Amino acid sequence: MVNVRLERVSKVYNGKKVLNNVDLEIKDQSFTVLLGPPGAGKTTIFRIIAGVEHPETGRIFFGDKDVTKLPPKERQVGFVFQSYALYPHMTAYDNIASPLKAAKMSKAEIDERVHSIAEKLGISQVLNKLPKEMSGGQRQRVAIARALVRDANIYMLDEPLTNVDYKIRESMRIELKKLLRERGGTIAYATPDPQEAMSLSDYTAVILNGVVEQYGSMEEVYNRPRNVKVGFYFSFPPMNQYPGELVKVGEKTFIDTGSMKVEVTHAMDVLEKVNEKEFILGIRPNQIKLATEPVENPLELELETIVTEIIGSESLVHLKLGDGKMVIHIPSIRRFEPGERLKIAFNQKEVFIFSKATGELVYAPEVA
Amino acid sequence: MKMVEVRLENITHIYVTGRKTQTLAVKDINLTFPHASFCALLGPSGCGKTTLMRIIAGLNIQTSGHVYFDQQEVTPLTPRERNVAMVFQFPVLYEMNVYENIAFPLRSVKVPESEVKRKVKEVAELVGVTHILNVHPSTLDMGSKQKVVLARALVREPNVFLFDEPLTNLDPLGRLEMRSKIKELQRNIKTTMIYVTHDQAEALTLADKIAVMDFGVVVQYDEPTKLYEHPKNEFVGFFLGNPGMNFIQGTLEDNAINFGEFKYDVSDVVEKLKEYGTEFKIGIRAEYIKVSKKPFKGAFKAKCIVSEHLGTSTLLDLKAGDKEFKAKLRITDVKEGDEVYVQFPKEKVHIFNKAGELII
Repeated sequence: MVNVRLERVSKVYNGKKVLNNVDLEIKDQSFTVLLGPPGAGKTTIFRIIAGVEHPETGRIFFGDKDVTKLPPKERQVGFVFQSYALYPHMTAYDNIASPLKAAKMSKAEIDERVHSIAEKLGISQVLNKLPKEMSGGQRQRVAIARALVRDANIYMLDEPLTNVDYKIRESMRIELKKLLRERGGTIAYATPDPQEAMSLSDYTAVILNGVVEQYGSMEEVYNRPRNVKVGFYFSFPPMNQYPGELVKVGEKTFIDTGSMKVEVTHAMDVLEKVNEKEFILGIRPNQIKLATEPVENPLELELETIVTEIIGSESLVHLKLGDGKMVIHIPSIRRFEPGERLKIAFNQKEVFIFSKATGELVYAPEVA
Repeated sequence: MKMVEVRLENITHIYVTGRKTQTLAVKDINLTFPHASFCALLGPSGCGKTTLMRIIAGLNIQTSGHVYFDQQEVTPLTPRERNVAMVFQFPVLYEMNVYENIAFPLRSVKVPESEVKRKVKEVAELVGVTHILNVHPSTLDMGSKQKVVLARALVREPNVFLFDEPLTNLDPLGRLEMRSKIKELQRNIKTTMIYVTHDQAEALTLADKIAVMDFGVVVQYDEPTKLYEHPKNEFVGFFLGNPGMNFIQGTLEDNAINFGEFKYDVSDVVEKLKEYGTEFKIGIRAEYIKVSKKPFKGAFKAKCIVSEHLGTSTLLDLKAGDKEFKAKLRITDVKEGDEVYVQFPKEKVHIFNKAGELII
């Protein structure tokens, strides 16, 4: 098991640059999540690490060893795809055993390893079944078992839960977390879901349009998103954003977005340093509360409901704010009807401030 | 727009799957979808929801039972005669521009051109496709295509709209937009809409009433919050919500249900429970469980096995003796391995019999 490092890796498909100078380190024994929307380049990074794809420029290291020219089978990686990609004519047992057979392991050892990993993933009872006789959740477990059964330099899981029914996803996320921690090793996990990133990762790399926008510990990236794009994407639901202008009223300073004035006096030190007039305010939907809850340094607003979405056991209320909207996140099931007016409030010191010109983070709220 | 009440009476449907084998898809279903309501059929794949919708549309004819639109029995009528509009998972559009696609149903019944123009314009505005009327569908994304399908369905003034998982293939943002669009549309045109989905979020967000289905039967038919707060059995409690409701099994002893490491007092209802035997399950939603690192009145001890941070909230897997359950907290400093104190607030606990049917 090793550090895996990409150095200035670029990749072009059909004249389009899908990876642009990617520098990325996946630390030994760490759990690193690559977070980004479909098409951002996550899968391409995995394929390049696995050696089934070659970069136009740049190098790949496993530890100190340059593996850029090494063929896939000499790299020893475990790979789980989004679509299960099981051999359809083989039983679950043979699917899981296939990488061990290829490595010419003894029959007894194969048998022991297959049963042990199958038990951990709760698929012992389907070992004799063909993929078509299994449910989607079971198929994906078999695929995961096949990747984890061998010793590998790095295990890569490419959106393993995306095609799984949401009820199964809920329990599998925790199981997978437990299992991978037990298994140990260097793990890279790609997902478009910010909640999965939060729940699973030690380190998070946010990848947008073929570029690693930010890499760091999960908390660091979440609490100090480097720019508006990262703030927007690494947030569930996405961060509300409002461009506005700096205005002074007596001793106090505000950012006026046209539809609200947010006090930013507490951030004056850093705002003065950048010497700009225009900023973007970022407010996470979970920072906004119904006004019935206590809020410090509150800005209260009364807004009209556009629609309420109920997801799982939580509600997202979309409210009209000027020409745009404000989404708030309520941790229970509440259905406000379109047109209904709601009083909401947020702590003005919890608002993120980005430069309008560059999109870079200027001020991040302090973490309690 | 028209609005009909759709009523299903004793609907049973059996698929013949081989010479000697048959599959019971839905069994003795009685359901009424009121005038101008938005109702959802919700359940896991294979529960019979799509079969039921195809029976309403007339694409399948039920083995026994009756389908009524208001007072009229529509069983002998063809899908066309029933005048239902269907929106499927994959949008199917003709090789012509968006305007012509929407105008198509009107053209086929020879509506005068001026009327076609007026109607297409009207529905295009309702659905929000006015700006793409001249565009060819092949250049549109999934969400826009689905809107065009919706507009084309709308222009016929159907008796009822049937949706079969129409948002499954949209990306998350497109799904959200389309969801609010459908909701807004229903509010404006007040046509009866029936929506089939396996996604509880869609059903809870859109529907006035939800029929939860499992193994070919309707398990519970109720308003969304009713279903969520008062599930009739274990299946509904677990299927709705993320995570699903916790169910913990224990034995009635004296005035409490005993779970080994802790007890739940039932002295007020013990006489009633005795009628059902000695084994019970209590059901409680993760967000209603009280958890603290310090002891408090009425609390029992548990251990935190997994703590999952989800941004807004933290999901804890807790264990007391051999009983495991999940608690969801907004703010917490509880970590994996911590000992915690737990309490189930009385007003949030439901009691089920061993088979998972609600008693109290």
